[in-house]
Amino acid sequence: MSDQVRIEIDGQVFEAPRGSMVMQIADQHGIYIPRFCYHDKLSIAANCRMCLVEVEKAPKPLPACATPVSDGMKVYTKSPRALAAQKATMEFLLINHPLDCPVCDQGGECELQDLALGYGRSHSRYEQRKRVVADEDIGPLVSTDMTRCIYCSRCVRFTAEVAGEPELGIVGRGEHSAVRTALESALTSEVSANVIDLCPVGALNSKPFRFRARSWDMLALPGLALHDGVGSHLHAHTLRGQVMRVVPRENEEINEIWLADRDRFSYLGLERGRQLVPLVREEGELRPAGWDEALDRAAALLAETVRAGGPESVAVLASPSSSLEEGALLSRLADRLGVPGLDHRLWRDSGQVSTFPEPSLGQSVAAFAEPQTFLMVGCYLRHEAPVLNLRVRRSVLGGGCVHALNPCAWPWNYPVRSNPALGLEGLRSALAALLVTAQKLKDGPVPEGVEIEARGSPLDGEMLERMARDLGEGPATILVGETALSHPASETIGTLARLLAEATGARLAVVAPGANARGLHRLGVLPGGDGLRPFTPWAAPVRAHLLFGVQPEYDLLHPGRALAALARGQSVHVTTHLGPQSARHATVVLPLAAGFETPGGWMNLEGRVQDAHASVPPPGEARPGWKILRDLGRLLGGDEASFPDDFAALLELRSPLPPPRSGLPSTPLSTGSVSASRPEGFVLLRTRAPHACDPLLRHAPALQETAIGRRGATIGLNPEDARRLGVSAPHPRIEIRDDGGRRTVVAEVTVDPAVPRGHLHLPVGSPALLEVGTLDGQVVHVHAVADKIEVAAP
Amino acid sequence: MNQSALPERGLSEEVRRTLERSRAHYPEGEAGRRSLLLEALRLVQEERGWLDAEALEAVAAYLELPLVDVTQVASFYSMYELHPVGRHSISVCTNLSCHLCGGEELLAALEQRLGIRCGETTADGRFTLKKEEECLAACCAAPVLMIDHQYHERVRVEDVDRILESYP
Repeated sequence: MSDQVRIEIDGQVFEAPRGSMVMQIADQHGIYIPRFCYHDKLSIAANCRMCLVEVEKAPKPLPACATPVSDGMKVYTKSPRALAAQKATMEFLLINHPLDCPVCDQGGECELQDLALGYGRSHSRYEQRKRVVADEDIGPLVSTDMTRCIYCSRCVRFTAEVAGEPELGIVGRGEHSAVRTALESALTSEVSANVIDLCPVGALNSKPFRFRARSWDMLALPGLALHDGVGSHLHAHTLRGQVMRVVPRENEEINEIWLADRDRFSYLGLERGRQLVPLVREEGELRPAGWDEALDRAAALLAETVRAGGPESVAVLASPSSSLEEGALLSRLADRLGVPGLDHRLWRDSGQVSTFPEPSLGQSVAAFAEPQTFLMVGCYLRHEAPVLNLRVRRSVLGGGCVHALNPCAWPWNYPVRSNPALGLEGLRSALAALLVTAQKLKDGPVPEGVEIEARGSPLDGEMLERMARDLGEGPATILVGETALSHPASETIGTLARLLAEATGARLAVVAPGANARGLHRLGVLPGGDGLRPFTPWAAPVRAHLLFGVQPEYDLLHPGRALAALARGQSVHVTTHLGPQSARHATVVLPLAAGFETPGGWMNLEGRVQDAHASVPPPGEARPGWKILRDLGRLLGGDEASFPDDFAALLELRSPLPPPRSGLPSTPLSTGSVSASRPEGFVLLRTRAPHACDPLLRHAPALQETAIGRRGATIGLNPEDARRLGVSAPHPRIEIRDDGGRRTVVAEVTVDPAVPRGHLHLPVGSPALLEVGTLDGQVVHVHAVADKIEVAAP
Repeated sequence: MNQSALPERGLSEEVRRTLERSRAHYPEGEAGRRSLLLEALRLVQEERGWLDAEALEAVAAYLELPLVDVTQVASFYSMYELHPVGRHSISVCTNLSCHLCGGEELLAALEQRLGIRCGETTADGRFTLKKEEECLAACCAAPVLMIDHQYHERVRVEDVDRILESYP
């Protein structure tokens, strides 16, 4: 039997693979069949019946989306019988659909509206009352008008199939059916808002966008998502110079049709808390200043400091989401000053030379969907690169597998073979133990020091062997993520991960945070220009800082050290948002254009350079980063060739990018003993809060109100520790004292079974946890705070 | 939140034992666990009287199914009670045969006698009148009413008091 069949659709003959559906073949050949429930990224449900077509010899019209092709089949999509069936379906769907298009946000981009024009009657024959469905609050991102729902179940299938977090269902039966969550709870997935695009009617819409604009009034401008290294494509919908909403821009090779929630709603931060004018400090107070004055002050400050204290006295730190142009200029600016202290790796915990190779995926984004073994090393990909994680999910469903070595047993949206909560020290020893196991399996030599590193590994031999076997068989990728990159022993972990990749033949992927970590690495926005130089930006002899797109109180894992350094010295803040501590210490503040407001190129983790235009102008007097850096460069004596006036000239200077460097230093592994005994108290485990990891996200209120946002504003504590400490609901708080006992802070707690015992999971980035973030030391002491009982006065 | 984070609580030892025995009759893996759902919900309801959120969560955790899937099933079948009910559940058939033989009158009499409407529970928590009862498959003995899975056939309005008395 041949794998191909011949079918005829509307008189045209097509070859079609056996098993495909009539709808798929029609779509491939541009024959449009109306549909609501069918979606090529979701499973087939065939419950809307809009795609009924006539099939020769079939007694009734058949749904094109669920009718497999067969040899000799003749399909008529526009015959009187097919049209009658489609029109009847449409009449049925409209029986209970409200006629509120004029006040519906979906109006103008509504599939029901469009199809009603083609298939609906001009008058309804239905005179009875329409059904009303009670709305449910499903969180701050998605608004519900469930009376408009036509039960296509696309959203239900999305949460179960794509997001891997089955949160929506059709509850009730017949007339009483409604799309609901199980417990009237908010959606929790990191990609939940994609249901807005999938909903063919106005039942699920964007809550922050509600009643803000009509779809036909806005311009759709292409842009890029700048909150992770995936480089998702998006459209910014703008009206009168304002971004009104963001929707995904289809790109099969990168984000397909999806967007992470944070990429979709970060635009809300464009209009909140922005720095609108330059500021300079005078007699201890910041005061507004003109651009010329502020730039002069900034340039003079940097030049003076270098002159007085030498090149080591100035440090330049840039956001890992800075564009390639900004990166090139930063690197030239540091050269111009003769300053080696330059970095974009805000997540780094140590001042040592990094042993990590250039950030990369080791393959294309799309290849992540192919069946293979993934080992997540200090990597919670779900929150670090949500859209990339959707590909991993597809890989797992297609036969791939995932092992995770993480400090916490973070929940995944697909089955994982192992997911122990290792704690901070355990991550390092478990990785070493895995390397030992992998080498022993193939009778390879175990490098010196690895056995010592592996001491105290919390994993049993069976689990390690399974991991090593899965990695060794077939294609595999070892992902090194944020928690590994920011680990106090990140250099050791980097070396171990590289050795493990060599031992097992697995690809190594370094998933660094930020939208342009790879590009900035390539451009040399690194200490000494090549990263082969130890650099501690917050210690002597650094006396002045140039911070570009960084909020030091939130963007750094250890803001306490940074703020102390800023208080001691002078600083220039080129920033979109000025944080409260920065405002206290800054010498000069230069307002920066945010993403959506600046043109530029960004290199995603797979190495693809993508350019975007500005979608809207920056607010107030804020300027694009490249102009600010160019002006600073020129004021410091740079020439026009290095700091060109024209953006186009800059583009030429940026390309071609230098080739990747080879030859990495290896951190010598332990030769002494690794301390196995845990000190008294709780280990502070810092990770970046996924909805508060850059200034724009932090100022998007809707993102902070999501489950992920709220979790990111509280400390995670293991349930057993919580019981032991007597921490109790509903808003449990704890008192945290740092090791020296110098300071005590109080913070709200989430009891989270993913957190290992003896650890406090501290998400960094939320203003709510700023105080805790500034605690020094890795070990802290914890007490429960008794909820005050209010006693009424007699 | 991931399903595995839900606590596995609430299912009694007895329900667990019965379900473990039943598991053998179903295929392995998720398909089998899904098939076991109807039985699990029935057992829990028999034990507790009705299915509250905690019961649904317990079933979902035990069968490793998404809570929303359990909710969809439990809300689909009218035999599952998602709200508190009385000690005894009364179903009056008003489908065709019973309708022709006086089912509607029987229902009206019961409603008047108990002082509640269909879907409601008496104040003393003794009886619940089931809403939306379809054919009880005993047309030969119409009109039929069912109390706690016990059939009462060819019921006349004047029989109602006597029948109710036997359910304290």
